Amino acid sequence: MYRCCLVLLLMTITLGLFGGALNAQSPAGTLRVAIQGEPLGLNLILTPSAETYQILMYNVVEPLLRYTEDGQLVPLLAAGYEVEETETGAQYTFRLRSGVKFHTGETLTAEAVRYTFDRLLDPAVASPNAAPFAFLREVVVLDELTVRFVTDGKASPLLGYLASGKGTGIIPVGSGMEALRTHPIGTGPFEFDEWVPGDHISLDRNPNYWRQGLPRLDKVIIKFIPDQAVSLAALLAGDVDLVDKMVAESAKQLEGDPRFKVVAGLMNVPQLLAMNNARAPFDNVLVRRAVSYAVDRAEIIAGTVGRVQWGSPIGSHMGPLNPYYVDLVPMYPHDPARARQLLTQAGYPDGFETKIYLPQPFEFHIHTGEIVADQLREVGIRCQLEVLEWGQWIERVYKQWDYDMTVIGDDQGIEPAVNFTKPFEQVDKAGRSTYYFQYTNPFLRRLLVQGRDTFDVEKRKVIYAMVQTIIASDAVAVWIQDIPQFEAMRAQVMGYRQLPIYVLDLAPIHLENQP
Amino acid sequence: MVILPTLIRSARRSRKGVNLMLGITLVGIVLITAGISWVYTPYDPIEMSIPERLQGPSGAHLLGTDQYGRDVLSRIMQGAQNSLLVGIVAVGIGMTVGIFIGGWSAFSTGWSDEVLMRAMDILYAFPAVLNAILFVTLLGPGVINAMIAIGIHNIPIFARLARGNILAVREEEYVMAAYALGRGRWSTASRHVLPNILPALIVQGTIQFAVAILAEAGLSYLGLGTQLPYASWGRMLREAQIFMGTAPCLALFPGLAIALTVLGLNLLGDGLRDQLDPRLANTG
Amino acid sequence: MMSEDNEGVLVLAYFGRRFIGFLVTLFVVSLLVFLVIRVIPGDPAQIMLGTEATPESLAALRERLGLNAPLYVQYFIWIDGLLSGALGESLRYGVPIGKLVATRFAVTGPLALLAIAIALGLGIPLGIYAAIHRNRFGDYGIMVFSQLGLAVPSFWAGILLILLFAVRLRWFSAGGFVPWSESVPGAMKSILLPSLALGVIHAAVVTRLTRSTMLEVMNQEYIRTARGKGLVERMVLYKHALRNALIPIVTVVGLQFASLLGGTIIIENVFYLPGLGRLAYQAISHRDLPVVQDVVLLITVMVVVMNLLVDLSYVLLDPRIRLE
Repeated sequence: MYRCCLVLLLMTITLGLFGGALNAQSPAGTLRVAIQGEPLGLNLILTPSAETYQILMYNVVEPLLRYTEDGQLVPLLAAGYEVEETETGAQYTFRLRSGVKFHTGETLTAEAVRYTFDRLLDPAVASPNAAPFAFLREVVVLDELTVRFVTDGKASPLLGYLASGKGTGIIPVGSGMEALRTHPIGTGPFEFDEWVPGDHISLDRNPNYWRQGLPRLDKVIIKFIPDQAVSLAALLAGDVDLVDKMVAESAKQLEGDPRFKVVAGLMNVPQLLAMNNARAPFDNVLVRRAVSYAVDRAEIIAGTVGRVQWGSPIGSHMGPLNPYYVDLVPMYPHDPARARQLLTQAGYPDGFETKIYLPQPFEFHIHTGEIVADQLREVGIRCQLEVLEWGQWIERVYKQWDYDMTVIGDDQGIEPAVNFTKPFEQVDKAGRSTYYFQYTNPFLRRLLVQGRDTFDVEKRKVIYAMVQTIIASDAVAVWIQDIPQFEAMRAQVMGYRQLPIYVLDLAPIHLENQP
Repeated sequence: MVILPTLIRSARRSRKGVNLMLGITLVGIVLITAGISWVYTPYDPIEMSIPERLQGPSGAHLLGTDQYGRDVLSRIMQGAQNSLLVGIVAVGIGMTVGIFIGGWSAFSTGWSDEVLMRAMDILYAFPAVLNAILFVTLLGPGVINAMIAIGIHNIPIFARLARGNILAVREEEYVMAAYALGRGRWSTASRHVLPNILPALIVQGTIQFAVAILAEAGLSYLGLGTQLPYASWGRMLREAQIFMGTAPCLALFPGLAIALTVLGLNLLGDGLRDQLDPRLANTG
Repeated sequence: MMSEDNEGVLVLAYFGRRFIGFLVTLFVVSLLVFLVIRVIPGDPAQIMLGTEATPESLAALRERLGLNAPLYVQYFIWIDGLLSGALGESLRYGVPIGKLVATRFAVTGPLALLAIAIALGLGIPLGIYAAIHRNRFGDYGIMVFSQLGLAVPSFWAGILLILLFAVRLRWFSAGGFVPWSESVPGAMKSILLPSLALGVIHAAVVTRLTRSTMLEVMNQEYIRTARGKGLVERMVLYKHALRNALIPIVTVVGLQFASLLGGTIIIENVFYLPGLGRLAYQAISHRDLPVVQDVVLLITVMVVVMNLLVDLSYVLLDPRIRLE
């Protein structure tokens, strides 16, 4: 009995002791970041993981070129480049910066560039990230610091791929693919320190970094905090300095608090209601247009994001961060009467029954799907909602195209050729689309080839505007919104800037009052 | 249902009867709520009204609205249907299969008894939640699969109970007599044994009903037991956790509904045991 | 009366039989777990590579992960590894599972222990108090508490604790875990609320049980005799009644271990604790097959061992139990 009382007493004391908020202060020059997901291995050649990319790209490994925050392509490891058209395609010649060192102390050479792309395209490595480089015929070393990429076709997206593709960060000659999975090496402003799965990754300042004055932090600790409520609490308690990709619900709670700042931005991930274009009734363009009129984007944004000015409705397979984006939202204003009229015209005066698959654990899409079902019900389309685990979603929707409708975020790069090739160009031997949209259009495919063969940016803009107009008028899917994201940080965190690609650019970040 | 008035009458006489009365009342309220929600809820529990989202309790919405502007009271009422259904099916599966296995085991000897009981032990060794998660992953999320998963976990409980009770009853004189008269195994079992072990099964059934409701709530909380957009108390709590900072009320009412239902069932089970099984009455 | 030797042999034989049963159970469970997770739809390689997979990269990854071998070979490799102490490698993280499980257990172990401590520390005194003051006001109060405890789902208790201590009072964070290596008080702080949520619920069971066994024991002959001898009430209680009542309590706490471990799966998800339960849950949804089979087997082993220990201690504590 006394022992039991003792336990109770101890508990009370513990409660009291740890009850007060422990306000940990970060050591000078250390930034603690909370991210939601966790990397799947640290070798960008081997993994398609967005988290690995987000942490390592530009920070630990560096490609030849990079994107700036306003979407410009600028040289990074390359000091400059030239493009020449040849009879069979084109050749891109890069002059590398001299004196750049890997974290291991080796010097960056043209040979390392060739080694990197040999690994990326090696059939034995079977990189999941190799597909965009299918047109790359060979990488030739011209001298110590000059390297040439020879392509089949003009391959105008190559420069964009080089700056944003996974696995394009240059690695030292002879690096083992397995070794890089747990210890990445590059030329970046930060060196890999350690990875504790399920907990954090830490990076240290690269003392020999080639860009003067960078990085400005001594250490970065990236914690994996899967839940928004927890990362919000961690920020409020001072346990982390920056929360990456916070949801609107949490961001709202920081508004007006001078200790924090919130940067609203977009993920460049178009969220869409996909319809199986090969399956009745969605093989009928009238039905797809009816669905497009029935969906009310403003209401979805109010119900998922909660604040209209934070939402970003879209009307085609692209986000507004992309310089090639055209706004096609006005093509289908919310108009239930028009939707019902189109359904009648298509032979469904009483609507029809259908099923929407929703991917677990993506709550944002599940919530959107619930609202969409409610909106479609108003025009007579009765949707059964079925939640599928992510693995089953990939299997059923993405691989077997065995679905009616689904809500998903279709991850995008910034290069339009990348965005459109898979969904609208690739077909199997029978001429059937291999993408889950199940939409084919021979004219569109010719247009896309033309886009790839065009170098002039203004001409490309015209081509991709046409592409977007065609898919929107065929109502291939209902594009809903570019998913908003919020970067929340303590007021002392300076120099944060959002890139149009899924990368957390750490080099320019510093803490105010940092010595 | 003739039994109910008798129970109530005898419950009034004993102090223990308070449990029973309270249990009957709470379970009755849930049953009636579920029944009413078939024909009437204050609002459509599924229809959204986004402009009215995340409102606190008010005259128009007694328990407030959720993130889609749906009336929380209406959804809790609809959730009662879901919980009761899960309880009935899960206990039904557990009881039917369990009694069969337990009975078989009790009336057979040697290895088949041993093997069956070992199998039940192994099934029982899996933590219920883990068992259910694995099973639901196998079959896919959904309320029916959740019910089956919970039902399967109930099987060993009823099998053991049935076997133990049958073994005890089997030795009684009248059963031996029935055997001696040449009655078959199953005929003896259904005529003489089943009525005698029924009270224990009913009591256990009530308790397992409560356990099933808790388990379904847990699964739905993990996102494995839902049929959107229909309401489930566990799923409502999951959603509420997202909005805890801005709409804390959302996290209160569905939990309260679960707790009161389970409380009612537990009290009912305790009370029934006191009334039906006097041997155990002292220990409650 | 049996001779000492005879009884010793019987006990040993009983232990031996139980141990063989234990091994058989382990074998069957391992086989079941292995088969079930391979029947579950969803290809681990596909989930890892996600939507960007190509048939070639999928095939290569499946080969690298050893998913192309026949089932019985995979099973044999797994069991062989287990017996030689190698738990294999996580498909998802590419790190040894032993290390993964160890770091996760550093969360779940203390969490479960603290929860049991709370359950006993709260349940036993309350149960004793209720038994002594049977049918009086305090007893009713305690019985109401235990009925409520049985009725409240642990995850709701967790949510309520978060609402109160994290959202309102801001004393605790709403979840997450500070590693032991970083800060011991911080780690304690992060498991305190979840173990309270679990512990209080289980305290309800312990309270009820303590009360009823105490009542039973207090009614027994020898206690009445002890009272008759004029022993002070307090002495009677602690020396005789409680000690005898403890046996069934220990048993039930042991048996509750399974439900407690199950409870950690949900409560770790409520508080986002990187524990074993959450690892199991995530590994299942990511089809990290080696991790699922190891963790599920580990959890089952813990439960089975606990049950075995309970049975054995029963025999040792209470010689009256017949060794069938």
